[in-house]
Amino acid sequence: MDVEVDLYSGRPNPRFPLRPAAVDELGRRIAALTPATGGERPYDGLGYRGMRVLTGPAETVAELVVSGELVTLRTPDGSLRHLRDPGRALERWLLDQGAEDLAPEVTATVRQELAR
Amino acid sequence: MLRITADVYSGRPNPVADITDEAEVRATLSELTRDRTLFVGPRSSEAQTGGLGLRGFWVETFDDGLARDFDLESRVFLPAGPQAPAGRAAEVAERLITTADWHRAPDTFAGTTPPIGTSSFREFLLGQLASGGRASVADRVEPAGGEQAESPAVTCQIELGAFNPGFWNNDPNVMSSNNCYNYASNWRTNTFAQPGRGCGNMYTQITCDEVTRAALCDGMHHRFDCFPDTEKPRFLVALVVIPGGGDYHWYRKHVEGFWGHKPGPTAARNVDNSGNVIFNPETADRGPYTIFCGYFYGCDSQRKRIN
Repeated sequence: MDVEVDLYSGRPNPRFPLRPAAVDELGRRIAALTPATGGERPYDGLGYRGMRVLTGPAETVAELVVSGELVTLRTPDGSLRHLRDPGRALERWLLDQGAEDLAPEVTATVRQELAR
Repeated sequence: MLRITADVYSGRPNPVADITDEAEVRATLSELTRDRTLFVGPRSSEAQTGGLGLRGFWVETFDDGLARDFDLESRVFLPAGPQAPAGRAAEVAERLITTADWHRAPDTFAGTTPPIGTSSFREFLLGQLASGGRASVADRVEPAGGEQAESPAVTCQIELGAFNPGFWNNDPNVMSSNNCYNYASNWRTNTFAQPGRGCGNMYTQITCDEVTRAALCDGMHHRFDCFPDTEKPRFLVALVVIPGGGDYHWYRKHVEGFWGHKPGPTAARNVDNSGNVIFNPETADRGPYTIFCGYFYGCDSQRKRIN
């Protein structure tokens, strides 16, 4: 399972692998989130947009987008589920998982955005 | 009789043509009404009339019997080009163009504009249909000194395409596999195309100079370094970068007058980071892409080379 840091427009986004223990922990963290209400949408402009967890074809979640206190799960049939990520805790945790693999300037940029 | 009005101009009256042969009228209406999703009624059609280039055709009937036989309103609008629904819209539009008698169409031109030759008018509309709503315009160096200044030193003919975000956004695989360079080049490669990779000499760092070099290697030109007609479509694009070499981004100008762009794997749009429609990429809210590198022309061989 890979995590893509959705940061760039022209260059391919940086990615890092999520280790097996972290995959399990991700499942536990998602299960603890509460549903989001309203019509919020993840930020999708220029600059840092969030983390995208890329799952395998056998997974029940096709894509997981973590962005700005909002977690969006897309199932293989295309349906969406929205959860709330208070304080962007899940986003910060995901960034920590990539600390060894990501370029320092990428980590620094994302940390700066998360501190806003 | 059927009256066909080609919705193609913005500053002068649209050309009108009639189909008078009764058998042809019925055959045309039969073709038109086979798929009613292709056209819209008189009220909702007003929304279809934005933009330059061929937008569609008004089709009018003049007797209630014909309208009843085909269950039609007296006036319906058939969108053409990028506004048209997928499927048979282009086929039906082509039938209208080829069967209507356009010999009076040049008379509908107002003012001193020279009429387009009768024989070429049908070709003009067919060309508009084939170009998907694209328009050729003159791109000039703005003369210094306002309107009293002498003629501009350089004028290049370029093309402006209609804004069609659905092409990039409706399929999740297309959206995630094509970036701003694909969008600016108007060429889907599904490879997240990189400047210079197609010509075998990709950028080595992300600066204005280096990304420019790579894009020129793919075949782009600096603005006002004109391309010949054989390189149509010649789109006007703009390059920006993040200070420190983080990333680059491209915009493309559209026939509607605004600029479109596609931030990486996200949706194509015509608004900036503040949600404002982009009429000037130099002053738009570009987030961290604060360095404006300049304007360029793409061209047909460049877009087919990108990878």
